[in-house]
Amino acid sequence: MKKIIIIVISILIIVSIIFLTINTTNYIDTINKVNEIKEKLNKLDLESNNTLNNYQDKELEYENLKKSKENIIKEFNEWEKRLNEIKQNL
Amino acid sequence: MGKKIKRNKTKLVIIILSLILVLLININIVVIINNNKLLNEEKLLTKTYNDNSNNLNKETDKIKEIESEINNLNALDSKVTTLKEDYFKAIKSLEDNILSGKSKVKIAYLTFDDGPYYNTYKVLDILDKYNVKATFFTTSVNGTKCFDNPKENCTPLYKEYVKRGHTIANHTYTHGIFKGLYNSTTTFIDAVKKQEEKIKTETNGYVTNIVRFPGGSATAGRLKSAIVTELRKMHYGYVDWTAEDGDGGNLTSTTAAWNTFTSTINSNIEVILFHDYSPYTTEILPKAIEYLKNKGYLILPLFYESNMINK
Repeated sequence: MKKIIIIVISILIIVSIIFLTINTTNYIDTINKVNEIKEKLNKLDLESNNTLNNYQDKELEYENLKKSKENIIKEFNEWEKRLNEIKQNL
Repeated sequence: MGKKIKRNKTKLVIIILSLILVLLININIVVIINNNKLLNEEKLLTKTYNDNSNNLNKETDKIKEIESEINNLNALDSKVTTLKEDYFKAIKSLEDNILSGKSKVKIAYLTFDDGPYYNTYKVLDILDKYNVKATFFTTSVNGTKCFDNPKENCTPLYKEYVKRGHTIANHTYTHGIFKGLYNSTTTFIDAVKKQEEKIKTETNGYVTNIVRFPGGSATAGRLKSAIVTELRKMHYGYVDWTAEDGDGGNLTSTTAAWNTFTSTINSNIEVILFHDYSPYTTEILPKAIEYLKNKGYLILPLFYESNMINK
């Protein structure tokens, strides 16, 4: 009887070790995946910061250009209006 | 005794093995719990990564949009040039339709000779009020000072014409009808060239290729044909007028100006002669614009391709 108990416990130990091996492998895989995602996120953050800076630069460039082109914008709108007036009469 | 020791050893083995089993089970549970935690973290990080990636794409799209707007702004200068060309092409088509009877629309070209004067500011303000563009045949006979206000400099008016959207045309530098302008083809053409340079200088590059003979083309007499040949070589066209208010002559009242003006408006396309120094013209101008509009005239600036320009 005691021999049977020892055998059963031994089998259970072996099964536990097998499960532990599998679970540990999974755990290590998950750690690697998490690290990979964290690294990708860091790169993305860096890229996002650069993009945000680029966007802010472009926005400033656009606003400055718009101010300097105020007269030409006005001229463009004026000529477009005049052209439409003639086209209406054609 | 021996059997008792053996039984105790077996019990001990069982206890140790059980302890090992329990330990292994616990370690497994801990690993599984931690793995699950990490899996949740992975899920969250993946979501954050996807969200941030989408936001980055949106920001990149916004940058592309703004770059496109920047390109459009930079291309505006050439777009304005194209628009102007299309505008005058459209007027030419309209003129063709009017002359062929296809269109009942009428066109009036307001032209103002001999400026710039100080009074030209008043004329420009009236034209602005009615949103009307005209053609100014300029001369430098008065020098830089305003003939009608010698304390003022009239050359800034050249830029004002352009700023307010009017056409500048050439009325010769000297306007010297009685001072040798028509002595020879050369004196006339030299006066045209000199005024052309004046216009370019005062406007930073405005080019005109429309000229009006001071006094009208008939004033050139026998020289007219030779002058016109030279003008054509310079790619110039010339224009006289078909209607006026008489302000180039001896006008004595606003009523006389009005009567002359209304009596000369007969055709579907009119080139109307005014002078921007004339107080009578300045006074009737608002009423004249309203009169023309009520009669169905579109009031437009002259351009080289117009049927009214002799080329």
